Amino acid sequence: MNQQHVTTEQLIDYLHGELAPGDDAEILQHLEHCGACALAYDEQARVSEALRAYARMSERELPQGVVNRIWDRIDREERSPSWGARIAAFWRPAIAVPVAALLVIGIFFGYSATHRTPITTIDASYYLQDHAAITGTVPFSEGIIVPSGMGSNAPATTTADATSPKLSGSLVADAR
Amino acid sequence: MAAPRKPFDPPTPEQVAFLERAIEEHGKATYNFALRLTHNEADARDLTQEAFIRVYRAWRSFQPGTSFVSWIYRIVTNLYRDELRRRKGRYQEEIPEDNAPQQYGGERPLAVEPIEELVEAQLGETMSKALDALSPDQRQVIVLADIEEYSYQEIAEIVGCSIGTVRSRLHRARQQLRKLVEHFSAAK
Repeated sequence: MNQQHVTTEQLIDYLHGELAPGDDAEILQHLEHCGACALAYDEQARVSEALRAYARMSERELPQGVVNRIWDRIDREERSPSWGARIAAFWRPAIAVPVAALLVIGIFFGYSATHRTPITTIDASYYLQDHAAITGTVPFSEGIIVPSGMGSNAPATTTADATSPKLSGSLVADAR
Repeated sequence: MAAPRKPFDPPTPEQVAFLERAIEEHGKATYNFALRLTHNEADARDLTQEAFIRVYRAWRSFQPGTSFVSWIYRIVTNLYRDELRRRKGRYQEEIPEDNAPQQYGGERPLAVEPIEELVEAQLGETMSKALDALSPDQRQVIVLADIEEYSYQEIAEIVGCSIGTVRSRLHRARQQLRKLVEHFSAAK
């Protein structure tokens, strides 16, 4: 430290008593022997002194008008609270708890009403498929069931139930 | 910490007495702090009024044994920051610049010392202009460190930033202030 000059930052920290005790002592020692750094320190100290002098010079009394406005505002707020305060007061537990409970119940029933589980229905084609499957396992039955993909080997076919919209050609039956 | 007063609860005599005492003992200091921070009388009056309203509302959150002045300065600082932000981003956090330390002494010439040359009559005007030309952040840290003489730790608590930020902000602010004082002194 004795050989190296003190930086402005160190001087500012030293001036404000913000250095660790060891560093503080080193700078003090350096300033005693280094005229240039001592001058730099004096200048920093004068900045602080000038600021405090300016603060003293420019000091003002608190205007009475400010004090009056503070109390007026408090009186006004006490007499007629803001909407925010009214809502906050309304939203006390005695009201908030039942309202919250009603909301929960309402949401539950509302959801149940709009999201009903659909009733399981059995499509007509299921019965046809079932029937076809059973018939297919019985040799010499009246109708021979041929899967639609069996193409050219199949005899002339027609739909088992031409009126069923669900039976879209997956199963065909011999019309004979 | 006691529970805060519920809305519509009538003010207690203790609450009213707390505010009366706060204004009487610290009203002037708070107003002057607001004045130095804002450099504007109208803003300082509004800021002081709003700060004491907050003190009144939150009086129970003040912890006895701690510094009331630090508490209300923190309130003033926060209100000022909010107000500046509200005025469409006039308040901007400082962007850290080159923090390379400046070396004094040696071959480097010492800076001119305009402050020493200022007579008291000039000091007020020059310093006022120089402080006014600083950014709100820089003005705030100089006021707290050099006029109010708070430690870096206390300033960090009041402003709501780290000690490192306080330190670097103060270093830059003081260097900037010196340049501004030189500028305004030369302009006379």
